[in-house]
Amino acid sequence: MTLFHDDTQWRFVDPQRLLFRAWDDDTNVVCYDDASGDTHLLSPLAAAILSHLQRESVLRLDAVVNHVAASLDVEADETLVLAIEEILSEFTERGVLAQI
Amino acid sequence: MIIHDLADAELRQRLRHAGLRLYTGPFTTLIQSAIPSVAEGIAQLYADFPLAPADGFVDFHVRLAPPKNLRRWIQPQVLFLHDDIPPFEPLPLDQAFPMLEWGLNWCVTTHAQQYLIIHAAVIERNGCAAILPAPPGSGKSTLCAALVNRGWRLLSDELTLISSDGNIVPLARPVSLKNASIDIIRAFEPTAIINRESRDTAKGTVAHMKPPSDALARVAETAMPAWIIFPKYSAGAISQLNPRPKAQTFMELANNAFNYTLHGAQGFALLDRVVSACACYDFTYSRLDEAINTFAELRPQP
Amino acid sequence: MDQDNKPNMDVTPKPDELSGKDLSRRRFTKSIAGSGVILTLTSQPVLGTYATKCTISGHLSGNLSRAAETTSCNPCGKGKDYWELHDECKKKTFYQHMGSECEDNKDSTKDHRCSWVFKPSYENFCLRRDDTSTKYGYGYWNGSSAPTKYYSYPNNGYSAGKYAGRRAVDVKGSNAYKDVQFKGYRDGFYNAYKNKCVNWSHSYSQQEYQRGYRAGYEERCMEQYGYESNHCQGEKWDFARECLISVLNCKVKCVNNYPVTEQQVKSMWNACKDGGKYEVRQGTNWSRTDCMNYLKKLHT
Repeated sequence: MTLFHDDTQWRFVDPQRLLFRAWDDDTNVVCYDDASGDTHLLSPLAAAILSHLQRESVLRLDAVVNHVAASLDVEADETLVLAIEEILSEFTERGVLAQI
Repeated sequence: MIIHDLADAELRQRLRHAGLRLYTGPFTTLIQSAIPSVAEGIAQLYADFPLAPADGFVDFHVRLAPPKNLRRWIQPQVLFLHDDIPPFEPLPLDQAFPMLEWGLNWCVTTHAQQYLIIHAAVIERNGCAAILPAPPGSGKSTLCAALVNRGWRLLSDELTLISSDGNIVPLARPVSLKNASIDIIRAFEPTAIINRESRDTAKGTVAHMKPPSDALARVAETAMPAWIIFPKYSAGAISQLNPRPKAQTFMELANNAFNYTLHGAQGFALLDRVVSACACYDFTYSRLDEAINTFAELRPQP
Repeated sequence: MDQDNKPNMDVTPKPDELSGKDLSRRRFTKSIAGSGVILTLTSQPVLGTYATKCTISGHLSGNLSRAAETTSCNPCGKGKDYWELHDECKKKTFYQHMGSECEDNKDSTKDHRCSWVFKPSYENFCLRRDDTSTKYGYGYWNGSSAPTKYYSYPNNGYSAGKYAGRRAVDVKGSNAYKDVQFKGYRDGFYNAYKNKCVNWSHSYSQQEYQRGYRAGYEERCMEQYGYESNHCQGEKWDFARECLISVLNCKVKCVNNYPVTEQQVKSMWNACKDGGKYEVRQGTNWSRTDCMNYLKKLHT
């Protein structure tokens, strides 16, 4: 059972507040949040979600699931959907994303 | 003119009264103290440090003096004062010189916010700097003391100063040694000048090694960061460098910085620049001679 | 990051055009892609990056406006290196009045799971205290809501140290003596004698046991974990070491104005050792990691 409806959408609260940096030798990504001053070490999954939103401006759950599945070469199954939803919830709580 | 050029009486006179002004890396420091062990430590370990003019700007005004209460005479203590304010509790008088060193480190970390300051030793060779962050007890200072006696230039044994252009600014001062490392370095380099030990400090027995002369002669030369190496002493271990992922290294370095979050997005960008420029490793070792050889083979990443 | 410092993040390849589920792909697990935010370095106030007070309350308040006050505190406790070097001081602090043969008998302190101790004057380290009028020493184990059993040995005028590893008396209907080899852990002794019952003869002693009693059974106490931490890895050992260092700093007089009390440290241990939380004040709870990081700041 998923947390959100398929047509739920997200956007960045402030697209400019996040700075990312990635290196070839590491699948994790560092991210600086200018609003809070916090720096995060993001998993590849979180990084893939946020990169998709950067390109698309608005994020639909089904689209991001497909994008992430392709990016990480994993099945787009319920486990992945739930993991993505958790991350979307986390970033919404942190004020990085907002539901539309 | 350097401190060695001052007669002992003149040195003590300046310390007792107007203050001894000297350049410590990029800073000008004024030290006042009538405590004999402070004068002795400065004469011995700061001999190569250039004096600063009497009328110039001073970054840090520091003074070491006994407290005004009974602890001036009974189980005597010493206070470190910065701008006449003591930021710490007093320590036993025997620890006056180490207190000066700790106090000067505190001055830098709390005031020199123009730099990104990492809690790490940093050494240089051929213009390239190796940053050695490590928690206490990892053997960082012992390793640093050994390397600077084998061809590496001391930039700092405790505080890595990164300027806004991404270069490392030298802050060469006496190298702190503690407990077993004191005798290890004495045996490793008999010509190294190490002052008298202070016992029963919070870190155990502490002494300081005079920085090699070339560290002071070239104190104005910055260096480019080329390696970030996390040392860990492990008894019996073979010297080994293991590559470290950069994202994790970034976070570790940020965590070891005194003022990373102060610098905000610029700090993020600066640390990105440093980590991207460096080959990053974990380094385990037990024998200093093997460690020296391993470091001798380091090459900057293309 | 590009030259204009604008965010760019091209960390994943462009997705291929999708045509439904690709059954050749791996199943998603967190081991493949992780969960989300692995680690966060929280932004701190400028002056808060340097502790201006190292009492717990000061640590929590981080009162920046008082940075210039002289009550600010640098790490003032002695660290691991000192205590490793000054083993005699450590022994004296913990094992007062005890001989070296007792050293293996590293038993618990107040609020911990006490067990057999052969040392009558082990007051600083353990709540248990001899009833000197009868010259008995005793141990107990956890088994019920109130201590119901104990073992005693006669004091024949020996010093405390000589009792280590010596005899215990099974007083269940007899005065048979049992030779016991006891080294640090009480497991063997407990397992061997847990079904014996004894007569409870001293109300004073009973109070002592009740004060020191805790439900449950723990094989090792804080001090044992702390002493093992040199060769055992894990956060519980690291935490125990930090607690041990702080307790030692609390006890010795050469550390002035140590910002926590021995009781606070032991309360942290009791609350957090198995992953629980320590209530600093109402509404504020520290994890084991929080407690450990705080205690680390108090020494060099």
